[in-house]
Amino acid sequence: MRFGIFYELAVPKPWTPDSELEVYQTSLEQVRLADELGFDSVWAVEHHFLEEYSHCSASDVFLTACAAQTKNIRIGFGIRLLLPPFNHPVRTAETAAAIDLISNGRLEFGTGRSQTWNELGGFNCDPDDTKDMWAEAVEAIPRMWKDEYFSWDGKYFNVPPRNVLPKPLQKPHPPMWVAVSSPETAIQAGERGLGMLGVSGAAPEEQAKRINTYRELVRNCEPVGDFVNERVGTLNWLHCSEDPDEAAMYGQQLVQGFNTLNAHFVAIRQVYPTRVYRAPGGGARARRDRRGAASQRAEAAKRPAGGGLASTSQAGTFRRDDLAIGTPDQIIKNMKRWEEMGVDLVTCLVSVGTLVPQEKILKSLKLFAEEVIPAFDKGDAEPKPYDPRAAAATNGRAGSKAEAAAAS
Amino acid sequence: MPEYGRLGVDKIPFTTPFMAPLYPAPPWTFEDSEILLMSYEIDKDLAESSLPPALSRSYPPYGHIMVSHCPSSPVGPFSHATQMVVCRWRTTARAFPLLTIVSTEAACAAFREFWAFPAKLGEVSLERNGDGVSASIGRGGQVLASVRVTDLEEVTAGEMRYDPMMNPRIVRAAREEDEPPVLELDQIDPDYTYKQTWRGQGAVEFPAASDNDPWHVMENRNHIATTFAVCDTQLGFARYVVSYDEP
Repeated sequence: MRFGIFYELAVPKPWTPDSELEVYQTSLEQVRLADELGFDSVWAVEHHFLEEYSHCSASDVFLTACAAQTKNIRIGFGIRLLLPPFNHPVRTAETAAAIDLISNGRLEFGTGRSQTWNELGGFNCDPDDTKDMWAEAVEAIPRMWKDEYFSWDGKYFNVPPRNVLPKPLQKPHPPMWVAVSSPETAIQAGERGLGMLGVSGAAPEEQAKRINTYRELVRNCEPVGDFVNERVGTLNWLHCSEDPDEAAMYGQQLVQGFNTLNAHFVAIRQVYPTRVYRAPGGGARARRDRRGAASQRAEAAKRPAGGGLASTSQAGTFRRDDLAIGTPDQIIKNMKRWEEMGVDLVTCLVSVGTLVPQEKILKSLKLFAEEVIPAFDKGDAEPKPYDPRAAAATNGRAGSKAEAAAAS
Repeated sequence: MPEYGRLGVDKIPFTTPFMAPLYPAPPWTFEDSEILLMSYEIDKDLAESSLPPALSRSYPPYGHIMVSHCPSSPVGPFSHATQMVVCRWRTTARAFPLLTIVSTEAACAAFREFWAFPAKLGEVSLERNGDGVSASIGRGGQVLASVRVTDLEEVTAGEMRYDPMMNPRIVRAAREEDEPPVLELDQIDPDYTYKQTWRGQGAVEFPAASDNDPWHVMENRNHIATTFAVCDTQLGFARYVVSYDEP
């Protein structure tokens, strides 16, 4: 199992004229250190209009800076929005290829669609269409990378024969992923041979179910690209310290800061009736919401007031056995759970704006790299190019129709 | 020695008035109630200035107008409409009512006194016509708001959602100089059993700008979604009571 760092580029209030500058520059310093320390990858979201929570709308620019300032760490879109009203698929293919060249072939291409009314409403994007928009773009983009002359006549975008340039350095193309925040998206990942990039804080038991579903489906997938990226990632929080109380205090600030900011945005499924964003088993939504309120109320009663952020007096009270928060030994124990579950990559949020002092974050990264990362086998280096003939012969995995025809 | 009364608190079913309420105790069941809900983005300052200190606004700020007709209830048929700002109590989505109009005296009294809606007696209508539904909300013959949903298409019950409401129960002190003895937020959270559900394109107009009934203040900045449902609704006791002031 490998470890990466993950950025939302949160800028909590109160703001100063330098707040965004400080978050961008401290984050890049963390990325440079993570590269030196041997972290596997750095990932950045693409969010729009989510004030305080994420000021990472131009994630391609941030990731380009990461690529230019590092040597080994892989560079991941976590994720790039594949909806034409946000990013024309050709622009996405061009941008991703350019980052792959600048990084000398280190790009991980995570894809997805937005989950919030803030973003979809802001770009006048119909929530009903996002699933099909994503599916169309994710099928077209690998062809843009490979074909000398690409053309497309689709439902959501059209391109006459054009050579989409540049081409990525990694051949046949960079590994592709999709953000998985529900059982349904785990199925989409498995069916298309995409890596499953967990981006929600679902409980380990729920994520285990999704992983099992994914592993079953990916064996017989029809990959959208030229190879199956059979890897599972999950999102986590990281604060590592020899002092368990300090780790708990900063870890609590990370988790609660993130969750409090996130809770104020308008999820599509909260406000817009559509099957495309329907919660699983949605017939009892009102009843579930009450149960959620009851448990959250009980949990909230234990938390300090003032937006839910932790106070220092609460140090040591925050313990969870699924997070990379604690002493190195605690974290190793926690992370072994994910490894046993079949997770290949744990991507960690290490900061929420400047809630945690920069020197503490850098120290945490160093300790984590020295004590935790060596306790895990990295596994295979990178996914191998997909060979439909070999796959069909060895494990029954089906190649794409085009590949099967070419192979025969 | 004076002979004091023997009315125990357990025999007082309602806060005010407790001697001769116009309505029976909850829960109330409304069979085949019709509910029109329009959600739209609203002004940020309006949202922030309308919410009590325990609640925080959503990003982006938005609100609902909910109009409902109840063909049967313990106090007979009536209709009601509420304008509300969507908010968060800590991290959970809730709605805070700004204005409510109820069409009958008994229902209005119960909404105001028992469930702590800011209710006034007025005129509320909800009519199906053609491929849509129209609603009108008014007082004293003056139409304050009209809502219409067109292009209805069926959706499943699983796609429907009504935010629980955080209603401000404020009992005024008898003496002018005293603080209110009761100042709280009651979570009013009916049970809905859906029978038919649709969504469509919503529109709202505010024909009259009334200082006493300022429905027009919550202007539509960007339509989000509008739904119409037929359902059985059960309106029970408040589910939780929380502080008006403390987040």
